[in-house]
Amino acid sequence: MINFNALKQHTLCRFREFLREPSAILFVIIMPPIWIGLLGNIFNSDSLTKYRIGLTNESSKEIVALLQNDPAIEIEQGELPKLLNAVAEKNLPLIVDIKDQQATYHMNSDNNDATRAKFYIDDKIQTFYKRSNPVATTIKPTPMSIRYIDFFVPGLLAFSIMTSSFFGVGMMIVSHRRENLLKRFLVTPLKPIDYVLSWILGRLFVLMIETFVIVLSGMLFFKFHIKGGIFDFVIFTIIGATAFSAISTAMCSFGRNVSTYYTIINIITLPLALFSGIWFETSLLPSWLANACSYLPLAPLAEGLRAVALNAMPITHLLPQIFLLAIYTVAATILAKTLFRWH
Amino acid sequence: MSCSRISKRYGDNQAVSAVSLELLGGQCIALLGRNGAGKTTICDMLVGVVSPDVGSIELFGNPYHAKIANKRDVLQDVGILSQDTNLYQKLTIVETLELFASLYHHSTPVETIIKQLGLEDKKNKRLEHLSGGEKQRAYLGAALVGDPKLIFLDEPTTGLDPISRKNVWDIVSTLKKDGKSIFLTTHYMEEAEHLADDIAVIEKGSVIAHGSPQQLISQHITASVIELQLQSTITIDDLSALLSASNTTLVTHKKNSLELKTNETISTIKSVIAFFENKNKILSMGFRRGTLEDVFFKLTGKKLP
Repeated sequence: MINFNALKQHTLCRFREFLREPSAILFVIIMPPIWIGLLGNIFNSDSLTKYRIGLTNESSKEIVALLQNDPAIEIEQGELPKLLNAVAEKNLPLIVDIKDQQATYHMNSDNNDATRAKFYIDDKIQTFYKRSNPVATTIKPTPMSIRYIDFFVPGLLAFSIMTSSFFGVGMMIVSHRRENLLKRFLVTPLKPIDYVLSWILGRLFVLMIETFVIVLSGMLFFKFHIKGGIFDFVIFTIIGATAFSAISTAMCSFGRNVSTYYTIINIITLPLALFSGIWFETSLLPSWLANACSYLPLAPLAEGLRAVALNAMPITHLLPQIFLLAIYTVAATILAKTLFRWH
Repeated sequence: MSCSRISKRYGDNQAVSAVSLELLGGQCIALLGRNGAGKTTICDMLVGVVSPDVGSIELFGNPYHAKIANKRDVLQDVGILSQDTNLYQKLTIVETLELFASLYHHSTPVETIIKQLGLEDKKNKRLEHLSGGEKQRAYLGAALVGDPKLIFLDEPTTGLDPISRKNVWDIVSTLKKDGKSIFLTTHYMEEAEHLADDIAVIEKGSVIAHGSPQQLISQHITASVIELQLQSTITIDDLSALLSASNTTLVTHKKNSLELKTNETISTIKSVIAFFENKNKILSMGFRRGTLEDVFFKLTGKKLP
């Protein structure tokens, strides 16, 4: 049976340890808005509205005038060799050289910005010279696709849940064991269930702060908003945090001291972050790798949070992700129970 | 509390060999030994951190070991201050004691413990900001807040200054008067002599002598020690001549001071006075009966700090 008074005191202890640890405040409250601000500004597609092109000095005057009058185009005029240098140095994606109704495009077709710009410019030139399309085409604008920041905020939350579990739970338990603090409680009437529950409750407290800070930062800086139900979002966050708390408790049995645990966690964290769709979509990976990576514990967490936040998906539609996280929770709990060392 | 022939081996190291001890209600037993002698391992077995390889332990008349099913019920009546364990450094004294009080069915009010330990003005300070002596008293508070019948104190005053050590001794003496049973490990001779009713001298994991301080002295030390302070340095030749003339053995010799051991105190004093009459001026002279320190030295050939 749970000793609720002991559980309350130990959970309070978790709160106090968190609130009195400056590095925890730094990682949970200060770093996430900085990440959001930094990456959101760098990759925010709102700023990529202009097509930057180079235009040779020899280009037809009427085309120069046409392109200069288009507010969506930013032109750099010059001699071709100088412009080619700019392309080589990646300062310019595309050069247009048009004489006598003959257009030449200097570009690297692997460069997405160059391809987009070429498509836009070519269409303008063809229209100007009244070249009709063999098949009548109409481009209808679709609703704005998700911005990088919309993709990034739920991913960052998933990443924060993982790192703060690894460092806030696992690292602390290793540290407490190393300092023989766990050994002290081994010879008191404290029940292991009270101890473990205090970590989970303590984590949920930190998680509330983390979620609030990340979502609020996204809202304030980039007008991010959760399209789905807040309740669904919070429940899914708790499911993810529980899974990673269990994984952290299991992981801490492998590290005899803080530096060993730190090494193990660093080895695990980097591939998890890279291949679970935190910073970029896993569709960019080879399909076999993307498929394999979808079973990593961070992948269903990020996927589920995005599904609720961006696609307004109810939590009942996320059963595959919940099932995968539940498997990790159960497996990690069994592993933790088997391997856990008090001293 | 009693244990019978408990042993523990770690790899090639036989940490404890066939140790048997008994602690009755309201008494204090001290395990006296140098660092690494096996005191903490014995303590760890008795409180249930590790199980002995062989031998048995009883607490409150019932079998006890690290993996016994009702361990947490038994620990309701046990308080522990361990030299190598730690507590949450970010918590204040009050918070620490409240945390420990929550673990026990019949805890002493936190304020009472704080008063008993003399920590009233420090009670809202975090452990990380306390001095060594204050911290040790807070740790002792965590051991006492559950109102235990049996208290294990593993090296409670190691590293403390003399005043803090005296504070801890006073608290332990009060606990004894209150009828608590105390199991103490120490490498301070004076501490064992001051607090314990019963002392077990431990060396290389084995108990090599056991009894009250007086019993140990009378069993192992029959001689007296004569202490001499002279005006000028004693030469080696004089020292050799003195030892053969006075039928004594040398305990220590430092420049102009000497300690001599003898079985015939009065006649030795006379011969020493006669020997130095025309050679050196005796500034002071005294004699003492054997101490626990002498017992320990005799049994182990080593001195404690």
